[in-house]
Amino acid sequence: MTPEASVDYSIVPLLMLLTSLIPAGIIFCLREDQVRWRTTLNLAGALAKVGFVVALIPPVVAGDKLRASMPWVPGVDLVLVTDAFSLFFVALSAGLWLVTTIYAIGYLEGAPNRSRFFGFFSLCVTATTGIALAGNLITFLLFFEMLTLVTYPLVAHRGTKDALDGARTYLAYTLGGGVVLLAGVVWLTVLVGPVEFTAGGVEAVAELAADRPGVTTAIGALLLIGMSVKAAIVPLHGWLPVAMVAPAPVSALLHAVAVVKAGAFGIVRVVHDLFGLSVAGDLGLLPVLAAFAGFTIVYGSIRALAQDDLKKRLAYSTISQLSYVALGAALVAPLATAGALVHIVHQGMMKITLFFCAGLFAEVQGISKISQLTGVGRRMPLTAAAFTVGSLGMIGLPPLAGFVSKWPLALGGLDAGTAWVLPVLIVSTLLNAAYFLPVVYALWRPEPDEQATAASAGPPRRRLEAPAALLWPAVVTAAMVLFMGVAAGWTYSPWSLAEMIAEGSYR
Amino acid sequence: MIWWIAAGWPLLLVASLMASGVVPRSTAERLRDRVSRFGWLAVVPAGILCVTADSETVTVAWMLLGTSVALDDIARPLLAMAVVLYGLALSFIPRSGTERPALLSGLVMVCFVANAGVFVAADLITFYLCFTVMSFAGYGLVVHSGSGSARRAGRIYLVMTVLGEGAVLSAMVLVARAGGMRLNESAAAVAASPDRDLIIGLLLVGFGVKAGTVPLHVWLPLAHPAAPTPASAVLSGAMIKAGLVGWLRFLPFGESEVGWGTAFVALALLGGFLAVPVGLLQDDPKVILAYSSISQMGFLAALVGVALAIPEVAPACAIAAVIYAVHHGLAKGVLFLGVQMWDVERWRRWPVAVLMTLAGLSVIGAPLTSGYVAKYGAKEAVGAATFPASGGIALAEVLPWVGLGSTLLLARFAVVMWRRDRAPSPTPVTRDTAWASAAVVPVAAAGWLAASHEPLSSRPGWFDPGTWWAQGWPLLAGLALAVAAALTARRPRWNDSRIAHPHGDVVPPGDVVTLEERLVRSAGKGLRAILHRLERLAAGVRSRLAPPVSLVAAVGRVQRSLGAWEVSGAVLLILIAVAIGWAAVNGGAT
Repeated sequence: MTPEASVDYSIVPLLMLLTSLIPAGIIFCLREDQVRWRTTLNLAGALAKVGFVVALIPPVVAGDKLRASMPWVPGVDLVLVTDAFSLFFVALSAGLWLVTTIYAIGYLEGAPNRSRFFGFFSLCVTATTGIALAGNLITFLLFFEMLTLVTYPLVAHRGTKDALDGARTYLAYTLGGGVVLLAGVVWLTVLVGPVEFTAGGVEAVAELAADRPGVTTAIGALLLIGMSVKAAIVPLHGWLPVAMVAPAPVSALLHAVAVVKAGAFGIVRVVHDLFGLSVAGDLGLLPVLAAFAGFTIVYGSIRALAQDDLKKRLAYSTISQLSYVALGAALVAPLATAGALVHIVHQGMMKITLFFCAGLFAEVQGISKISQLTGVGRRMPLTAAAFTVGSLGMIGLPPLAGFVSKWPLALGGLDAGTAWVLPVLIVSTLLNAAYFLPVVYALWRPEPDEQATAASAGPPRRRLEAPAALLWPAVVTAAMVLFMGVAAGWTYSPWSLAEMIAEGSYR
Repeated sequence: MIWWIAAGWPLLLVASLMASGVVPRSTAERLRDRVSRFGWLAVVPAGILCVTADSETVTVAWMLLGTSVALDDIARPLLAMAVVLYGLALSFIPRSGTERPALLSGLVMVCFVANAGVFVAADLITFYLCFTVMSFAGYGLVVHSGSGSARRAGRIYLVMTVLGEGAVLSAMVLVARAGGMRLNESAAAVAASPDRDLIIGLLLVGFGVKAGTVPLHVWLPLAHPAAPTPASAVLSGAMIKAGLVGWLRFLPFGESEVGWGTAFVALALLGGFLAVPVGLLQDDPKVILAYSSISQMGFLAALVGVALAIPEVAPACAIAAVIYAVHHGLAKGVLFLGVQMWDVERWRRWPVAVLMTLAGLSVIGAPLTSGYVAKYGAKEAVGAATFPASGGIALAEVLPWVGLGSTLLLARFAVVMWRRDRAPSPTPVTRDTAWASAAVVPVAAAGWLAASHEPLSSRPGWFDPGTWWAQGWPLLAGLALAVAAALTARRPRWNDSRIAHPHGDVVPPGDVVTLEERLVRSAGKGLRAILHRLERLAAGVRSRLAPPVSLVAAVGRVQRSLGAWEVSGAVLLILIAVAIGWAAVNGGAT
């Protein structure tokens, strides 16, 4: 996103897509019992993508971009670019894909239809990578719609009535959003031709905004509404709490990086790299977006309070937390922008930890309700500790990651002259505490009959409280939540990168 | 480097305790036993740091959003106090009767690092980080015993902490926005900020929770008795001082904030005096000490209020407050640990009683104690300040009455303690000696601090009769009152009085908390009802929005009717007609 960046033609962005597309293709052809092949492919793909990201970070931070383009239909190219922001998002998806793959392998051990699951799982990541790398609006749309479609089988994976209902609701919402988005993209492309994302806004769009502000506003509104469905902004959030019927790894991926983040990422792209902050502000899109986001933050938290189902509470929490990103994107202040960007990563890391833990509680102890969690901390100390870290991070307590995104958002809100942001964030913090702390409290609370059971149970049979493939991903992501908070000032920390990317929008 | 060791060493010990969960059981038990037995070693590097390090600011850029620490005039004395107090508390843990001494040691160590961090932080983020970690780790201390009362105390502590946290965070954001990221610039930034009043109000509430300001004090009398004794010593001695430091760091002392100053002084005196009768009605020694702490923190808050109102005396008041905090932290710590000394340690009744009396006299401010120095300094610093809140009388004339209250409270404490059974058991002499010296030595420390720190630089004459009288009359009057009360209570006609022989049931510990709890509960019920209604409303809207006729079925019907040839033929005909008509009209246009 740095203007003086050198742009090199390269096949690398394409290869990054293929690291998950090829495994997906092969996995679909595998027999159900070829576990070793499937695992190897999955992990090789995930590791390869992480490898690409790690190799690309230093050059991209230095300002180099890699670009791959191919003609698609006449006049429209598919463009993949590794600018700082796209790499930022790819890094998140690649890292979380790796841990989620490990988790999913453990989670689905012995379950039916694994080839289908992992095939679509890889496709889902391919789509997310595509969204991240998309260099123009058309490419973005293509992968955005692809994501909608390939996630459906994952949500419906269990095939129960609940799962099918949830998946159908999901599809209805996201396809509807997709149609609106499509309309916006087509309208814009008809008027100004294909547009490539540019830090600070596309010039052609700015000219259009000066010429025909009404039309541009309408286009902007269509694009943002289309994105908002996936970003679960109230009143377009209805699918998210229903879609949590999906298996735990899917929920984790859905809530942390894939679908909802695609929406949030899209909002940032549209506001910052398509319209540019000043144009979007002049058109009056930003205050509206900020207002909806602010309302969603509080609304999601309040709804979360009333849920007893752990995953449902987490789902409403996602709705609330995601709007931090939308809110930050809608504020004209570098700090707020950086806060929004970094929250994409931080929220992902924290939420995936929480969903991993929720899955662990459900798998190992058969618990899905918060009221049943009492005393689980004694039986599953590592899981409970990871959950505690994730929760405290969500509340935004230092030195955890959540603080590093909330703090700049609040400061940026004041910088941007929107003082109402501070009370919204504080209220959200208090509500977060109100719905997370009771869970943590229940986890660590000793059971009334604990002495009796401890005496009779004798030494534990297993050394680990849960299957390693499920436990370690949760522990690792929890450690990352701590690390990303403590080392926020480090050159390659998400926060430093987010600050650097945010600068690009203000030049 | 020494900073890293001072902060890292206790954390390393905590990490080793955590790791003990995954090593074989016998090793783990040995490790836990060692760490809890020699836990006091955790504070040693910080002690060395406190003595040797210079006052330069040390910055670590990569940590959080930039972390920095410094040992200035506020930080160094308080850090020294924390080192002594936490060291003593850690050494008292193995005999405190807790079932999991290692866990408690670990928590206290975390609290120590965070608490010391609050004192030495040089920027706002570090301060807030440490303040938060300390507050939440403190929850672990409160609920440690796991009993029902501890859990209730913990719940109330947590609710108050979270509310305070919200206020502190808002204040921190506003201060940062005003440009006060470095603590030595914060106060000026607040003074210049357009949101000055809002910030001061938030600071009053946010830190008031920690400092036990009325009416935010309710967690204190519940948490202190619920926590194990060493933990209550650090809660009451060191952790509540974090609230004071927050005020000293952020409040705009350079400005003449008469309105806010008056508010502080009014709340402070309210706490300073109201805590006395409520505390007198208790019969748990630790509850009584907790109320004494509320009263003493009132004294400190009054100093803050004066500093806020009168810029000229602000620097002196700040130093006086620090000295008072050091003195009170140590004396109160000794008293709390004295409860354990009395209950289980091996020393005889008399030496323990004498040393506790000494600590008690010190809290009251009797001559030749640290309180003598601290209270004198406070009075000197306040000077001739008068407040509407003190009834138009010079504040310096009002403050000694707090000492009278303290005398009464501590007399009550003595009575309750004397009646307690002892179960002495063999305990290490070194620890008890350390405790004893902590009861005696602070006077020298306070004297040195008061003499050496500009701009206070005033220490009472050790044997000046006038000062003796000025500082001694609250003690004498209090004792006289206490004796009179004791004699009255002996009379048969008072035998059944719950006021003459209190059992802590006239006013329950935590006083107004019972009302607040009820309020919160009904508010919670209301909120739940609203949520419920919201949910129903949403469901109603959803069912109304759902199309009365299924779209799919409707399409199906259309499809079926189109299937019949009459209909489809007619539609086709109409379409063709329309197309021809349209072509006829527009034909020439292209």
